[in-house]
Amino acid sequence: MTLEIDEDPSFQRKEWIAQRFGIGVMALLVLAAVLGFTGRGGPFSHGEVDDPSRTLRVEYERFVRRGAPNTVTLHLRSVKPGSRSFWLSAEYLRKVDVESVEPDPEVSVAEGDRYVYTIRTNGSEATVTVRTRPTSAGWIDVDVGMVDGPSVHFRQTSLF
Amino acid sequence: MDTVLRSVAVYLFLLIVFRISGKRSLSQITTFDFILLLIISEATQNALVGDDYSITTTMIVVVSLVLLELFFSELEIRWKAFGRVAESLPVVVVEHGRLLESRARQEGVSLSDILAAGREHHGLERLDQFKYAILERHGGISVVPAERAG
Repeated sequence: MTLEIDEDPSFQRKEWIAQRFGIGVMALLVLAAVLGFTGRGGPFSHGEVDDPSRTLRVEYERFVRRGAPNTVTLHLRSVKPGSRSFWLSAEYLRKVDVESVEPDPEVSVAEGDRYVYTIRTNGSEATVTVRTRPTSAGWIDVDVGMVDGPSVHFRQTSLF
Repeated sequence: MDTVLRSVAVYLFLLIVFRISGKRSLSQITTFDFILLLIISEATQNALVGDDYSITTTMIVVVSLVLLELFFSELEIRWKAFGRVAESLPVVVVEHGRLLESRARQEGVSLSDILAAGREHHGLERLDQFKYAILERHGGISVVPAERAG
């Protein structure tokens, strides 16, 4: 009497090989995530850009996720106490939802191809945190600048 | 990176909680267990993904959890002591037709559970027809029937 079983060793071997390959792919995905290539922390996720006059420095996440929050931090230097205005390009804002700007802007106005935010500052340096949520996947070109001052450009990769 | 760390933390937390709650906790899903499972999954969802609705996050969470599971099974195979700690050991609860009451109580197994396992797999009618009933590591009860006379 033989065992009535639907066994196929050659198919089974192929299945094991496919499983090993799949585990390898999954491990690579987790490694990429740990290193920061999928955003939200990790050594390769942090980006920073400084304008030559060192008046404006922007910290951002190189990789962001569609529908997930991320933070762009603007460091405005050598600002006089009082009101200070900075702008974000309209093209950038078409691809992300701005969830919050901190400190709360006194005024935010649309001006040509950019949005201008005015905040109150009380010292020579000010840090502004812009929390956004990308609405699409792909590359997002970001232009940020100070009104009557320098501007910087950087690119974020938005993943699905 | 944050997503992977969250997945690892939630996996380890759930592993410890279910390990402490005993083998029988989720082996046979009762209505209450089902509700508990729904609440646990709702609660852990926030810790895993927060307000992040991206497919990337979902993929990383799922893959991290699956790889952790594979990694832990590999550890259990290679290192027996780890298997004991993570997955416990089988426990004999019936020996030669006699219920080992303190063990059964300790593991939260009732006589009716044991009799049901005997009926399901071997058509056993009474406890004296059992040689052994064993609460396995996965929480199920396996039964070895007594050899029938004649």
